[in-house]
Amino acid sequence: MAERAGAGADADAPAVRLHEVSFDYPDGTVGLAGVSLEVGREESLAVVGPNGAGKSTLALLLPGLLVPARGSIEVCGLPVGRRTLTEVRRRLGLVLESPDDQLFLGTLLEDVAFGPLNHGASPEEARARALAALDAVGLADAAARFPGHLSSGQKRAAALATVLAMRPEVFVMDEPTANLDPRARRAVLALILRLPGARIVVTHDLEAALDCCARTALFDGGRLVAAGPTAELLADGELLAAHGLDKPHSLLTPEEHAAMHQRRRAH
Amino acid sequence: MRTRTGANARTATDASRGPDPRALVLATFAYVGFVASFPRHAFVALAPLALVAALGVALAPVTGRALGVRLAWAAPFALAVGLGSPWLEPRPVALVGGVVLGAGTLALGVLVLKVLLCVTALTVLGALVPLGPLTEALRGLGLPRVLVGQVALLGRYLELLRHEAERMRRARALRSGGSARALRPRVVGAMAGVLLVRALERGARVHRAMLARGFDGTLPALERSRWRLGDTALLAAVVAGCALVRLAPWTSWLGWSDGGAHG
Repeated sequence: MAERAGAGADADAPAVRLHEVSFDYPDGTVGLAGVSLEVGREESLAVVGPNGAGKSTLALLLPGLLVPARGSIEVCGLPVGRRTLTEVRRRLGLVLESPDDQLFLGTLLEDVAFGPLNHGASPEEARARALAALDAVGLADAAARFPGHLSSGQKRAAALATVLAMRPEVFVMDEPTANLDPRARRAVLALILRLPGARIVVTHDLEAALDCCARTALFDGGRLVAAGPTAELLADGELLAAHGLDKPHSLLTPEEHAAMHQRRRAH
Repeated sequence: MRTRTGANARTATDASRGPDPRALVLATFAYVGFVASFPRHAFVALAPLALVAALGVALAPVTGRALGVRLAWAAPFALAVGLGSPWLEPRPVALVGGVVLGAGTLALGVLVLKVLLCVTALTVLGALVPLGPLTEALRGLGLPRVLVGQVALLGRYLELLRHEAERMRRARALRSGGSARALRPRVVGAMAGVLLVRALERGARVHRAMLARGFDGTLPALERSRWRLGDTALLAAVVAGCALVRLAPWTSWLGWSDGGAHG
């Protein structure tokens, strides 16, 4: 990846560092409350939790789309603030929950080239990067298509390509496997596993978290409740249940499997 | 490959092969200007400009449906503006197929025709030039950056509004059971309010996505436009054709009334 040595960036700093970050929405809803968290340069972190836990708020805070009420955020050693936004957004790519919000131009090629062009790439370079990103997500043949006419799975992949073309050092993905059929889901997970640099995956899909993230952070009510190795944290059924989550099927013990089947038969 | 699947269907490389977007913008503005300049009773004199619009539709990737939808949106506004004309200007001015046409009726016809021609021209422009190159062309023609940014975002916002309206229409249709109650003013009014809120919220989400990818108020163009001799020829042809129709007394040569177009 080229063009990595930005002013003020610290090569040894973690990909993302949050220190006591709090955010409240205008209606008083707590978004995040005193969250401190670090994500390493090559680390993959799943952010899980029930609805309203603050997961998407976290995703919007990282590129400076929301401004914390208290605390500080650093991306690759750069403090996130008005003066560093351009550099922060070049280094951290955010894929929103809805691909329809992410894709807004007339053709897929234009849409994927939008980020590189904004960050100073020449039209020729932006085109080359966009085509390479589309190729990487298996959409090379769809470059001239209108994004609104793609399937859900293709839109997800295209949304990922819009960020891939920017060559960020940190990928933040909000619900990347939502509303996908199993094949499209597997394809998106395979893509995520191939991404270079740090990956933060905000998800309700705990099986996806197991598949693509070494570490998991559990949020609830805007607070970071627990963090640890994914397989370990998601095997704690009591902890998950206390925060409105179910243990992933692949981690159920034989006894838990049997109990689940018994409940189903009772229905 | 160019497909005819709607106003938004165009290939990513069209801009590099086709005319310079600035030439298309100037030609469209010139055409709209000439159409608007015809006097209010000059129906016959104005009619040949429909051929230019038809040529544009034939050459651009515009489907009949996409064009029809836009015309259907615009026509009621034209009718609303000119609907009183037949009563305000009843004096007879023409005999067409044994039917006496009043000056007001002719003026209404000219108004509707003008609106339809202008909407068609702008639809053709929108189909030929994607939003990015279009805003780049406007900027290249000297329009202020802020204004161009507003045009770009307005275009995107209207598309969001249309998309959200379609989703709400579907939801209403699924639960209306064909009842006229679903179209009561109270329901339609509430839907309009919700539509506005939903479109605003969605617009905010899209704006966030744009900011996250470095958007600074200008839509960058993937293609670098180059003005070629062909662009000058295209612009000259459109302007000359429109000027000929507008200024030459061709209706007199044919012994027809021109409605004051060449007077």
